Amino acid sequence: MRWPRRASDQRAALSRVTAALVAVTLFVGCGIAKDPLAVAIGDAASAGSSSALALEQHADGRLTTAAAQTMIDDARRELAGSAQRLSDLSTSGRQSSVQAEAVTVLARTVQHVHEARRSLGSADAEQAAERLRQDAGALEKLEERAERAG
Amino acid sequence: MKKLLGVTLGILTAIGGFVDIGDLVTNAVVGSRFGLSLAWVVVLGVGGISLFAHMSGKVTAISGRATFEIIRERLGPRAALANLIGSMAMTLLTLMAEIGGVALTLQLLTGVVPVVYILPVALVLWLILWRVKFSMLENVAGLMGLLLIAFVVALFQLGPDWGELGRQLVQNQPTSNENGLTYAFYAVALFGAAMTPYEVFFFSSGAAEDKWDSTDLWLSRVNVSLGFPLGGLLSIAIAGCAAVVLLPAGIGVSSLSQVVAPVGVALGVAGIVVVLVGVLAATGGAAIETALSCGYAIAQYAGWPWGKRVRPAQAPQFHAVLLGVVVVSCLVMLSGIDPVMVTEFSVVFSAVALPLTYFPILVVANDPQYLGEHTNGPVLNFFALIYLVIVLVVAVAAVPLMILTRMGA
Repeated sequence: MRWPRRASDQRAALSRVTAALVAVTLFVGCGIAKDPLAVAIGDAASAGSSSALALEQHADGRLTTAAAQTMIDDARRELAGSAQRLSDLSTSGRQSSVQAEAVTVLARTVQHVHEARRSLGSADAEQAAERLRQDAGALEKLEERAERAG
Repeated sequence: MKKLLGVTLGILTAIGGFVDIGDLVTNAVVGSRFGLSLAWVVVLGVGGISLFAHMSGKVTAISGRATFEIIRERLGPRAALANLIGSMAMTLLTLMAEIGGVALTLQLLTGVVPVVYILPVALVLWLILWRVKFSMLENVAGLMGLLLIAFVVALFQLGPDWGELGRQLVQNQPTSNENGLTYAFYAVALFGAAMTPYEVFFFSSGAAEDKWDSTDLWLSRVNVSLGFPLGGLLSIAIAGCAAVVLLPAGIGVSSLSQVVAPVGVALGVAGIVVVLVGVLAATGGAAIETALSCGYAIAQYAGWPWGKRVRPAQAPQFHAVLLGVVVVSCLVMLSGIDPVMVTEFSVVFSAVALPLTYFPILVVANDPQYLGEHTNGPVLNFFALIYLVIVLVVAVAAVPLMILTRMGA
């Protein structure tokens, strides 16, 4: 196969090659990228741990209230994003049961993060942080299961 | 004595001015996911930015003309226009990210949502660009940016397992739960963050603002060979703090609050306040630099009067561009778009645009018509060509890696 000589033919050939490369990239990408279910659960686990860290550091007097509030609000946004992605995913087989469990744990984590925001600076902060650590731990286990099932 | 003070000030501002929102976020993300195993990319990026910033500073100091003016003359208006559009699109995206970064930092200081700050930040930015002298802009932001040294202090205060950090440094491969492509994607993003194109245009146009000539070439060498590498150490310290505090806790960085949290763990409230003022100076300073870079490049291409050394009335188009880019960035950020996401896109697309910036500078730096006896020597050209190859590979790989890894997910 020879490379065309005319400029218009070269442009057309270049477009076809580019389109083919994009298609191959997208096709290969779907197979190589990390499992989206595991990613969504992992992000939620990270948000839970982040909220717990903010609560603990604030309770220890090592983080300002504004910074701790911002960190928890950022975690809430991250959780909302994870919940959206989780509910949008269509899964089958073993992944479906992991997804269902993750939805339950994530809903509980969201509730605990809301409570954590309210408990900031109060005596309940330590317990709230502990609950979030447990949620994050449960989500991490689900992330591993999602990866294995994916 | 005055000269020594000038040199010290130059080095300090180069250190403080090196880190911007892209470096802050990308280094923390990488540290929280890969530890220090990507620190080699920062070293590589610092080498590249030092090399090309020196070349562009030299072009201005010797020829007495701005880099983009020469690029247009040397490559022709059409090639230079393509170059201008590519570079400016990335610089504008970076400006948006920096304005967002300032607003996020103010949120961390006050607890008020960032969107409230966008308009006032844009207004203050424009007033600074309009009224404040160049030397003041450069020195205040750079010196205050030095407060980011809190990341270095925090890293030592955290008392990490240095042996483990050392192992991560020489590991040069992804951790067990990350795949190779994600590692490669973040290597590209980190390289783009370290070699942001606007820094080169700002460095060369700043040389013109400071009225450098051939006798100031040594100053350029000292600034880039000491200031930038020390700025690179700040970047590695940011990644180190994230590697020590966030990686073991399973926290992947997705917000600015998580970037500074390790400093709180190490140094408490005082440390958080100091580092936030440093972040404010770094992002605010970078917002000034990116806005000026847009004005410099467009005015130099069009042949308009430019710079802070001339009165605004004598450079109306230059100041109109500054106002325009600030307004556009403000409007985009007011839409509520996540500044961290804008930052992530800006560093990846900066990587794509790198050849547009670095190739023309290398061409001009080898042209005796502009540089006379000061054209690049064989050693400088050898390293510059190696970097050009790296930059081309990075530019070609950036978008496919972004698609393949779904933005590093």
